[in-house]
Amino acid sequence: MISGSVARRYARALLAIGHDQLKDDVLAAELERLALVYERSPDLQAVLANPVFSAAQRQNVLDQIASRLMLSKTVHNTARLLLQRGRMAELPAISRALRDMVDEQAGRVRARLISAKPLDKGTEVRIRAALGRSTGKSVVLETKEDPSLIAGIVAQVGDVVYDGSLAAQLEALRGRWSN
Amino acid sequence: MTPICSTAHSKGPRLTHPRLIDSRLSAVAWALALTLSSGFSLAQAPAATGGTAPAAQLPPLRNGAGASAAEAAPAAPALPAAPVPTPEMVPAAPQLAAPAHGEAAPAAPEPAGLAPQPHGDVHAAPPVGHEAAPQVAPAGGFTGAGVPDTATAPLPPFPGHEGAHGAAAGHGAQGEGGHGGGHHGPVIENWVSWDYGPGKTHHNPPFLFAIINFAVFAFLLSRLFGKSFKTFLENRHGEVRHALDRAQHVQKEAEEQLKQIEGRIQGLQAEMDELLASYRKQAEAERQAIVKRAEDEAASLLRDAEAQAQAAIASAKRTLEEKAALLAVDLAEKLLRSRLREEDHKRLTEQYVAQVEGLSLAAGKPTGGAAPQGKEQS
Repeated sequence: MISGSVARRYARALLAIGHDQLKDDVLAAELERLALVYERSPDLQAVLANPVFSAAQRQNVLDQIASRLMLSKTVHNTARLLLQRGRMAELPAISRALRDMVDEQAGRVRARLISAKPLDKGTEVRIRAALGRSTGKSVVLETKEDPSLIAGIVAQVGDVVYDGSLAAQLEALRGRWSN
Repeated sequence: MTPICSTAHSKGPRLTHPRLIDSRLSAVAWALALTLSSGFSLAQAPAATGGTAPAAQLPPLRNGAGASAAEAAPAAPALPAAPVPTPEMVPAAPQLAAPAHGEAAPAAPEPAGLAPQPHGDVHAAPPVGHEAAPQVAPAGGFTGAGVPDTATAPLPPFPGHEGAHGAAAGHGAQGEGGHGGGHHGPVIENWVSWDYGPGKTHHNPPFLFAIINFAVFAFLLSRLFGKSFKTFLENRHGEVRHALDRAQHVQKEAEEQLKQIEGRIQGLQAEMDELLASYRKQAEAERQAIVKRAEDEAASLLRDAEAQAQAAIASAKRTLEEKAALLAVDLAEKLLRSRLREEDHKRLTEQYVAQVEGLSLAAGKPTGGAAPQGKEQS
């Protein structure tokens, strides 16, 4: 994937530059905050991608956002570079690639845990421990609620999905009868 | 062809076959006929007087009966008569006979009053025979009595049909009487004497020399044309024989075919009955075959219809089952959404955690590296 390849190159470069100045986790967290703001603000995307605004104006907007988010100079310069190169659309992918690289260097794995109802801490710990034993790495859980599951839990570690929801079982029944 | 030899007293050949109308044969026939007729005329002319040629002195040799009737009927009524050869009716063929006539009577001078027409003895006679019938005495050969000299008698103009009618009447009325009374056949009056002519001993030239003349003529003819005539006759004989053989052969074949046809006609009824029976048998077999085919087709159609009905039923059943199952799943989902309680969520969560822990224990301690691919469901 071209965008993935571009994102990994930027992430690798950013990790190499900021490795000496900041901790990798801080660097990845700052870039993740900026990417989150960019993803959740279509107006910001439109302003930064619209050539009607001058480069100075767009850079001024970006500077103000960076100051508000209290980004480090490394992340700020990286954002300005992306704006000058017209690569601001790749910012979320670069953030994920950087997170994966940092987690890999730290020996961590991220798991998405989706449940129909909020899970208690004990359940999350038990699941994290079980997934950690399965992957052999430290697991970082990212929890999410989805009532469409009806009941049960869906855990995704990388490309592996552990689906224990009733919605998935009912869908399997429908597929069996449809075939 | 002109009936040149139709006289009853002529002994000449009757040349009637079309193939014989050849110039040479025609000449021979005319010569023979005129020779013989002149000889007989000489013998039959009873009272030729004057210095004219014998042919001109004698009555015409047309029809013996007609001539005799005309001579014997001086006052015959005008009745329809038989066709009399007129100058217009006589074809040019008699011209070939003129030399023969001349040979037969070389010394006979032509009378001045007669036109030099071909076969003048024949054509000059009709006016005499018709118009001078009252004046001409019956022929001596027929009656045996003296008659007026026709040669010296004035010749009236040619009357046409009136004289012919009179001659016919004479033939019908009195000619029979003449025949019945004095006809005794030809009489040779002069055999060898050259003393003949008007006022002499004999009226006719010697008949023996006429015969000799004819013999010489026949000899010359045979020498000149005998071989080709023989060849012609042989060829004609062969052709006729061949035609007869073919005709017999064809007749035999026709008779055989007739017999066959008669036999077939006789056996026709039986053959018709046999054919009818055969056709009925074939029709019955065809009927049975058609019925069998129809029954087979009906059975096949029934089987196909049943199979299609079964397939349609199975499909409908399957569709109904599917829809029922989907409806059941939808109903189950609704029931689950409405009736799931907190305890049920906790129980499902516990089951999920237990399954994940069981999977982790079964997988053991991972060796690191890439995460396993795929999707697992509990």
